Amino acid sequence: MVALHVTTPATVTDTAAPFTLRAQDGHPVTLATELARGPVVLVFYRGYW
Amino acid sequence: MDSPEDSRAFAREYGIEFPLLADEDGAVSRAYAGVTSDDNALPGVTIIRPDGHIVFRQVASAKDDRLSSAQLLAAIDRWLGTTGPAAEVSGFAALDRAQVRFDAGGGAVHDGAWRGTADGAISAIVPIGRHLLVGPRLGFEPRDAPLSLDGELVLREPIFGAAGALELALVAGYTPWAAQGGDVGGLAGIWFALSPAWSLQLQGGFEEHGATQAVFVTAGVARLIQIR
Repeated sequence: MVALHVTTPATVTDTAAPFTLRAQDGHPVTLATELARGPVVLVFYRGYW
Repeated sequence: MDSPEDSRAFAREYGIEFPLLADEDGAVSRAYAGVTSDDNALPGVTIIRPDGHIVFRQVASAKDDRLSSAQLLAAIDRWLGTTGPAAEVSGFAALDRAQVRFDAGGGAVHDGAWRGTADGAISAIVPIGRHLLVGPRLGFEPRDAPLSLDGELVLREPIFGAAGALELALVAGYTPWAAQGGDVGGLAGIWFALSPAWSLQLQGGFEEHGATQAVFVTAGVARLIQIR
């Protein structure tokens, strides 16, 4: 077991930071656009853990 | 971090239809969940209301600390005021995971004439594809042979939102005791989840042991224990 140093966010804000990332089909997904359609659940995972 | 191409393969393998976002430079992971010193994102969940307000945040320091699906659904219900499925009480937890499975049941077998039978099995199976599992199996049937050493290939498809499952299995191996010889069989079954670990199952199939052929129908219970 290797102990890893963990860097957590410097500041935890109540308001979600904006972002745009590409989805599996290559199309960009923007947080603000998704929020206009409803709530968002953001799950950070590692696919092949 | 995974690329969109990696995510596409992952989504295809698991039948995922929601967006899998590629955070290739890790910037969003750093802002929301944090990263380790080898630049891997920490597992975490953030629930955001339509007004942009974060109502729930959980960051796990290791994969074993990740929220279960049931806990995540409960958090969504609590913080967004929705009512989702009661994941804790319905469906199988280990349906398509590496698992140990215990079976016990009884029924009827026909090998020239119908007669009663009882059977049991312990198997350790691991997934090799979507709903496809393989592994060794130790079978027990007092009527015919005390024990058989087999391998089994299992195809499972959840039904009713994983409150049940259809199963097709092929079993082949060797019986080293009383009635020595190779054995092969196939079965189809329908399962109903009594809890995430226990199920009621109805099964039917055929078996060939040496020169003896038989068909059977059984009812029983099975316990699934997820091992990874």
